[in-house]
Amino acid sequence: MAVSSWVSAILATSFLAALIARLPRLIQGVGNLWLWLTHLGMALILSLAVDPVYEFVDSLAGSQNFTNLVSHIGIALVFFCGGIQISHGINRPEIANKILKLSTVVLPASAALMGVLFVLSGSSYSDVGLNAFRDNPLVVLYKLALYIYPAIVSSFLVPPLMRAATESVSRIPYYSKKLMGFGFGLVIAAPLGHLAELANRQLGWITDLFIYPAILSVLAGMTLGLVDAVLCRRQQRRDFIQAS
Amino acid sequence: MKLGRDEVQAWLDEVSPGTGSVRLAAVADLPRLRVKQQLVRGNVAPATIAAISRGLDLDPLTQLSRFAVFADLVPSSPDTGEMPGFISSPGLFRASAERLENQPVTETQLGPESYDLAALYWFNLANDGALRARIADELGVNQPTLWKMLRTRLREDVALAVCEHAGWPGVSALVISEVLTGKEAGWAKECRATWANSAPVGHLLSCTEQRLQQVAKQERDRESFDRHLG
Repeated sequence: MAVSSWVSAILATSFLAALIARLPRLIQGVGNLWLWLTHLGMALILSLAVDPVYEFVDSLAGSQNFTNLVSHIGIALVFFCGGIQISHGINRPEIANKILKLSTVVLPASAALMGVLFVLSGSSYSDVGLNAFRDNPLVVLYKLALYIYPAIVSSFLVPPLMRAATESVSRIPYYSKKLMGFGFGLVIAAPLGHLAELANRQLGWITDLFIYPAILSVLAGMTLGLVDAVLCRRQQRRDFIQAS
Repeated sequence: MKLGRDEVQAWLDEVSPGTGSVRLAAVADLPRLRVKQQLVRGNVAPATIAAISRGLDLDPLTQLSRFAVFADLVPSSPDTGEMPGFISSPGLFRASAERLENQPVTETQLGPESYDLAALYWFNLANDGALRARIADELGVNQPTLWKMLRTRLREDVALAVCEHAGWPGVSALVISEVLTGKEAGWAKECRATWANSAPVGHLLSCTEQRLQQVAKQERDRESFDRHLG
């Protein structure tokens, strides 16, 4: 397996672990379904970036790399749900509305653009990440198109996340928001990797330098959200016991 | 903020000659290792000097004022502008409620003078928009470090700079930095209650309103964070 496959497998496992960690609160009715589904989406998308998983799933869909297109559209949907959720998490519903309004146009347009570029690129056999076809500029453009919507959503989130971190009075929310802000900042920078790749085909690895730390930072930030909620709940229970 | 070895040794030679670090730690009721490390490294915290002074039955403020950096400090009650900073949020809300009902406010109703986020609220009272920049310029304290200090314990030199900026008595800096208690700083008896009873109701409500807004924002942010990301 390629290095990127290993990294994806590790990240998919991390999301799976976060998914399981969030399950008890979800069952108790205090967790967040949309956030849980976002984690599930990321776990599935990252699993599809692992060679054997991709090849198996794609073989079921005719070995024409449709799985790649589906996972690309899935990433956009994860950013849609996650972006709205995080906006509410930092008490900025107006940003959630902004993402919602933007998404009615940009999300379908972005999916359509990816679909058109995918069809035009005409990859003939199953290959994870379309790495075998990266000599074709249309493939690089297709991969670049993936980042349009996530980069826009991230640009909406970074400044408010950083500001919210500064205003936090508790340590865990502070680090959580900082980590998410940093992660989304890297998502904004990630398309630069593909732009560089368009100029020089040997530079395809640059995107990975941005995107994997971005995923890890955002996951760590969101997991700290869970940690804080659990600790707060315990503290409230302790206070209640003490008071009574 | 740390006091240098020579200054501290000269002070120790005077107030407790020949006393070892173990004995000093015992009288100060501080961990031995902490006292020893601070003395050996020549990095003694003002809080350690205050604790040793208390242990030796000496007035902490008088002893601290023997160090050059605290030489100008004189006993004083807080300035009226900083008084709300030394009252906890529930205490401030209670004071407003009592005054609205024409009832006298007692010192115990105001809660402890040291409480969670006291430094942050106290700092906000002094902040006219230029304070953060001044602290960064004069003391080289960057924003993340200041953020941490305001939520844990404000360093003495930063607190002194805040007092200087706002024109408040310097001794308040040592109270907000948890080096001295109000009594040790020379606060007049029940000065917080006196202020709460004598301040115009409108002003008291305005101070309470500001605090309520800050607390409400903190609570809303925390609830949103936990509800949507927890």
